Amino acid sequence: MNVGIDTGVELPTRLTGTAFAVRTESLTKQFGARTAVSDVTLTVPEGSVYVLVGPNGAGKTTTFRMILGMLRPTEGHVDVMGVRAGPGGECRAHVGYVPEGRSVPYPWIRVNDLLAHHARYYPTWDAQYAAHLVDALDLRLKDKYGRLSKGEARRVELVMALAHRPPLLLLDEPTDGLDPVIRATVLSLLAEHMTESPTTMLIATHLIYEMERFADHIGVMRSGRLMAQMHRDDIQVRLRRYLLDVPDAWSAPVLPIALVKENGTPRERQWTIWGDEAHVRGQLTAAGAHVRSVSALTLDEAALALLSTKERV
Amino acid sequence: MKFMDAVRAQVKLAVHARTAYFLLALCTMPWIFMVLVLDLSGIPDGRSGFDPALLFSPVAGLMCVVFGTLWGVMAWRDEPPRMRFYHWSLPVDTSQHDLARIAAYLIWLVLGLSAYILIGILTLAMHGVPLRLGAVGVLPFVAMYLSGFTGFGIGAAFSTAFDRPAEYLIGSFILVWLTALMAGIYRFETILRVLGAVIGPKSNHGLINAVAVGGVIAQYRYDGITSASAPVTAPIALWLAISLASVIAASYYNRGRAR
Repeated sequence: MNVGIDTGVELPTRLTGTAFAVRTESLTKQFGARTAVSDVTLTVPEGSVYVLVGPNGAGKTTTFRMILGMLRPTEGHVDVMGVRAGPGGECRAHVGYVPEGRSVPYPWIRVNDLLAHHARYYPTWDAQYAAHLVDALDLRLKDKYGRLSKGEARRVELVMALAHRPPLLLLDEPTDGLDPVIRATVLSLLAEHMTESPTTMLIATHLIYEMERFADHIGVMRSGRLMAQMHRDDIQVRLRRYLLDVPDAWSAPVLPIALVKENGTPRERQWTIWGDEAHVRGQLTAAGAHVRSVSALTLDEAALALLSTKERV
Repeated sequence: MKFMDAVRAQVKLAVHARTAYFLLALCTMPWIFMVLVLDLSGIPDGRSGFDPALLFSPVAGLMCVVFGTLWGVMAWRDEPPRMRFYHWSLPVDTSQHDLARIAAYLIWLVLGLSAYILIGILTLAMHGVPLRLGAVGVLPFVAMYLSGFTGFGIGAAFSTAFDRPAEYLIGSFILVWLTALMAGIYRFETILRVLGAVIGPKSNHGLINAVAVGGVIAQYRYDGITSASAPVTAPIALWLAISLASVIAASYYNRGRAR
């Protein structure tokens, strides 16, 4: 199906504001000839929950590692809570991090010893809160880390990330490997944590429906590039699914609106379009299409649609 | 986080890892071996069979180098650079944090070498071997520690920088040995001279001289030649400096390269 709309109309990739917990500028990382992250300017407002969505290999984890200062960018830079990220530990003191997969290479250590070791690095470690998290997440402190299941290890890492009450949480697939009951518990704990501690969260996931109740900003990454980032309210207002009836052999004209996704049949088309609804309606009607209905998208649907956005050539 | 706080955290981590116990076992093993061999071998006068060479000869320095090198490699057990993600994610400068781990293991090495010396003295004393500590003096013992530190620095540098430190160390050793062998066979005098100067016992600054000279002095003094002396400071200082520089270089080698 031909795309009859000018996809050259850009989706928003910049957030405006003054206080950002994380701000990357033209962040690029190359591994040899392969570009893992390309020109990413990510801005996470302080106090927000920013969900970074993208398929596997999109560059989310590499971006996180650069935000933590553990991976040197090929180009660009990162500021975390006003501190330039780098191999120095200053920026990491502000961050609680749950990495993708197991990160602790000490199979011999017991959970309580691991938590004690971790606590030594964070003067703000809240032992009472850690005990509460251990209890809520049903962790056995005497178990050796190497014998934990994937889900149990993830729960331990959540305690390690949350218990020092950092101003910034970086969560890379935080619910990966968790069973449904614990997953619900984790989401409740995150909600509780946000209520009790002033926290900014940057969450990388491809299960965006889980984060629907938290997210107030969304960023979409694909093939190492940040395709879009926007406020949740903008998505609710500006991203719409239009169901169109079109005449036989209708050829869509080139319109100055941003088509995100299209599907349907030759006579009944369903377009997901970014733009002011009245303006889009007017453009489509003027082009000969009858707009049968317009609907808002859930965050999950919006993320899926944004991930399907055709790239400009 | 302050460097010394990170060192303290890493000292405790070595206890959880049980590598500290491994070091203490390693350092006491030669004495246990000696006791078992001499007591079980049926020597009629077991007391006279005890040789103080493990404390008062070049063997002592070489033993400490072996302990130090093995311990240096053990410093990153389970945590080669490709698995060092968690260590580097903590709020300490990544290079300094690597150095904190090495400093923590150096503290344990001091304890291990102390155990080796103390258990050695006790073992010999219990078997009636004269110790003559007054004649031997402090210098040979200090040299033993410094020999251990030299080996530790080299082992730790390899394990800090590379994913397969043991292979690199053994490979380096074989390379040097083969080079010396080939140079000897084909009479490459220049190569022989260079190797001799860097490693050989005849060079005042050679590695072997640096780790064995304390033991040579100890042996002479133990045998009653109290006036024995040799150039000690220069070779030991040189090789300690080389191992320290290697460790620092290794800690910066993987900076900003978490995988």
